[in-house]
Amino acid sequence: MNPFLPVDVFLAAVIAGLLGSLTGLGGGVVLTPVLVLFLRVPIQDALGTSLISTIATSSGAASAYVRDELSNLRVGISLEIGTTLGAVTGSLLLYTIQSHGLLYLISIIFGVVLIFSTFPNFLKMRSELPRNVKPDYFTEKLKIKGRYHDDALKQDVEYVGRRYPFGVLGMFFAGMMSGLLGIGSGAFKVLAMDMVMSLPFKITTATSNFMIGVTAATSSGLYWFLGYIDPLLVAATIPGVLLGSLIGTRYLNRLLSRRLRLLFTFVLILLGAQLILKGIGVLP
Amino acid sequence: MKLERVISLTLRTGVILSATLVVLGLLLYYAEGTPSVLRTSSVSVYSVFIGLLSLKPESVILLGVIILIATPVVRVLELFVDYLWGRDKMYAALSFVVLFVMLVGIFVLPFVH
Repeated sequence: MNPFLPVDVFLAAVIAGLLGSLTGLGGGVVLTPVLVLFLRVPIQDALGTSLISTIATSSGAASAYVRDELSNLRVGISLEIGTTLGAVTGSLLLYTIQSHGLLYLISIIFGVVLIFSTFPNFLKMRSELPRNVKPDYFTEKLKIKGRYHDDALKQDVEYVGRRYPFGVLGMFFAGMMSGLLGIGSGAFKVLAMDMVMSLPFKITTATSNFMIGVTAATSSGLYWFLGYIDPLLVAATIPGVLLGSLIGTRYLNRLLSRRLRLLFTFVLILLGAQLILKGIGVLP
Repeated sequence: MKLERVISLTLRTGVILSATLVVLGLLLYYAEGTPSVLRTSSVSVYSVFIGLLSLKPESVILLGVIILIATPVVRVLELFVDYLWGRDKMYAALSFVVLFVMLVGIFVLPFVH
C-alpha cells in the first residue's frame, strides 16, 4: 500500500491551495514544502506532484481570466518563448542535479525561491496604473497593448508594454525556476511583466496565470520519465488544490484584511526557512 | 465563436475532465485494494492505454494527467491556427515556436541525455 494516506494528502493540498491563493503565490510553491515538511514525501515526488497540480490550478484560473479578457493572449504567447525555453533548461538542470545525487540542493534553492517570491507582498499595494509608458520598437512590432475595464477604478484603461527583449529574458529565468522546482513561477512572471515591461498589475496577474500551464507542461515530459509523477499522490492532490484555491479566490479573498494576508506570508517564509535548514541537514 | 471563448472553454474542459478521471482512478484504487507502487518512469503512454482496457486505476489516473498536460498544448495550437487564419504572420510564427519547444520538452527531452 502506498505509505501516504490520501486523506492527509488531500487536506494538505486544500491548505496549499488556500494559502497559495490568499498570498497570491499559487498552489504549487506552497504544496511542495507542505508535502515535504509535514507528510515526509520525498522531495522529487513533491516536485512532480506540484508541477502537475500547477497545470490544474493555472488552467482553472486562466479560463476565467481569458473569458473576461484580462489575459492578454499576445503578450502571453510572445513571452512564452522565454518561459518554455527556460523550462527545458530548468528540467535538464534538475536531471543533472539528481544524477549527481545532489537533490538536497533543490531543497535549499526551493527555500530561497519561496522566500524571495513573498517579497512583492511587502511592497506597497500597486493599485495605481503605470503612467506615461513610452512605446518602443517592440510595442508596435508585436502589438503589445490593449484595453480592459478596471472594476476598482470604474473606467476603461488603455495600456502598452515595452522592453520586450528584457521581458523575454526575465521569462527565461522564470521558466528555468519552474522546470527546476516544479512550480508555476507566477511571482517571477508578474515581476518581469510589471517591473520590466510596465504592464498594469491586473493584466500581469491574469496573463501570468495563462502562461503557467504552458511552462509547466513543457517540463512534464522529463518529470514523467524521471518517475517524479506518483499517480496516487497526484490523484489526491489535484482535487484538493483546486478546491482550496477556489475557496480562496471566490470566498475568502474579499474578507481578509491586509494584515492577515501578511501573516500568511510570514508562514510561507517560515516554510522556506525550514526547507533551507532541511537541505543543509540541520533539520531531519 | 470568439478566440477568447474557445480558449477559455478548452482550459475549463481539460481541467474538469482531468479532475474527474483522477478522482475516479483514486476511487477505483481503493475499491480494489491491491497494493501497488508505481513509478511513471516505467510507464509509457502506450501502456496507459493498454491499462485502460482493463480499467486499471493507475491508468485512469495517468490518463487524467495526460489530458491535463495536453490542455496547454491544445490551447497554443488553437492560438496558432487562429493567427494563421487571420494572416498574422508574426504571431503565427511566435506561437509555432512555442508549440515546437513544448513538444520537444514533452516528447523529445526524456530521450536525449
